[in-house]
Amino acid sequence: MNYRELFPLVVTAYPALSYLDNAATTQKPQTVINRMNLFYTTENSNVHRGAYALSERTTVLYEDARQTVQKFVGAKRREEIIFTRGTTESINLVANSWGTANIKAGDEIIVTILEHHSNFLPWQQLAKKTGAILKVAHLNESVVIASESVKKLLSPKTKLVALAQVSNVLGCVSPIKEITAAAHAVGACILVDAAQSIAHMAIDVADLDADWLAASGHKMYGPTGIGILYGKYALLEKMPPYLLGGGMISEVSLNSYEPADLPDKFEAGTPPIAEAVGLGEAVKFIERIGWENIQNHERELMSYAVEKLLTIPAVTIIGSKDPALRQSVISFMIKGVHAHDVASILGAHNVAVRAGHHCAEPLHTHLGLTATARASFALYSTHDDIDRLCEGIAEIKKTFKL
Amino acid sequence: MSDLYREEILDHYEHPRHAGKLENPDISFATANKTCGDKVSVDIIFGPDNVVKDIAFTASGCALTIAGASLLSEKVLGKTTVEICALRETDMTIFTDVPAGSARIPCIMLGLATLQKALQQLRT
Repeated sequence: MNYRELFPLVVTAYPALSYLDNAATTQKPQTVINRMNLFYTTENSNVHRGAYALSERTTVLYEDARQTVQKFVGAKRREEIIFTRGTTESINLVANSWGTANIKAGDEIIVTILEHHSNFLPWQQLAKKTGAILKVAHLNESVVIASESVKKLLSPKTKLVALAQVSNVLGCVSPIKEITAAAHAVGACILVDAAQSIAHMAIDVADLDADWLAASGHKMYGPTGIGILYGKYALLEKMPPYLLGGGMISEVSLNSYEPADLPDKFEAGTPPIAEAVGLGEAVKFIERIGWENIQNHERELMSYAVEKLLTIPAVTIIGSKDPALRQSVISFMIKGVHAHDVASILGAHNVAVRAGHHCAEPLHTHLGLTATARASFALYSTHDDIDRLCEGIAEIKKTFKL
Repeated sequence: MSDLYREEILDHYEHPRHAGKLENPDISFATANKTCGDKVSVDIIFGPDNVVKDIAFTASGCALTIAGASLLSEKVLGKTTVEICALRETDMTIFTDVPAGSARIPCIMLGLATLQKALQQLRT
């Protein structure tokens, strides 16, 4: 199936580009772009239930988007879906709201060594602020986070486990269900960073039993500036508001205020309305293609990519060499060439990859690395893109006389 | 763009000029680019009239950082501290032929930044 033609930037603006930086952001299908254009052309006004027809229409669209996302992640109630600016804001919301109200000195928070800074720093600083202890789960011999990695750190003092479902560097998939069960057994809550998984696998928050789940629209063929926070109703209900202002109140007097009910309580200010509508369309786009097609496509691509890269002796794949253990992300190094040089030369050959520590500096330091190059796939990625990547690597070897 | 890695740059990367350390330098200074891990350190010996008599760079990291430091070392020998402090990003883009506004500017600038910070130490 040729998914490329669904994405205008890929086929029209940059047809010669092998865009392999999808872990950073994805390109958008025409339907999502059209949906947002339509919104601004014919449906734009502010939400919060204005008294005129256009405002009612906008509100309905915004709430429809919420319900679309609710069904997409398997949440029971619409109040369990909060629209934020992105994964980072979602996690900061939980850290500042639930974290500040519930974490005390001596409590334990578990994160993993592979976390993105957005699911690491809020907990690092919460621990510093409250006197809680931050424990870091490590990779096993297969260079993945196994449930054992987390289980051995759990104790009666553990209040929270925060971990990524898919690593944006290693591409490994963590066993969320098992870890959640173990965390709950000691009375701890669990927050799942789904930024790298949301576009690549079906997520059912009820099945995972996650307490919170955070994701970003722009990594799932949706617009920038919109993210999701799923939270169990019982938890969200008790959590104090995060941002204060219009839209999250039920009444305000000179000296105090009453917060609104969920989900409004956590949606202060004018929300990213067009973006929410765009996200709803992105969800529908994914649902139309179907998880089976998406996973077959990406699984096949990953096998091909690993197979080809393993034939180049100068290339080191960071993490597992088993494609079955990887989801859409391959970080690698070329012996004797700095990652920035790799990315520059690949860029000059129309292959877009990312270089650096990918907002996972603790992981890189732990692995003894400063910078790696990273290729990541999406629906419009093809065998051709992988071939280009390998040709680019051959160019690099030639340039540096390897 | 293949010009970015043209022969001259690769030559300086593989055979950096004035590489290493000096014995009894007048100043020794090091900086790092924390985001990518590239490091540069510089040793300088001055002659009369604050002219750079000898210089040595130790650079590690990407090709442009190393080549940048090497190209710079050739340019600054015999220059005064005043002249060196007046060097700007535009000068480095000319020495290295990296286009202004390129994402690789921090790489080629690391050597100059290190050198200029070292000279500031001299004043204080």
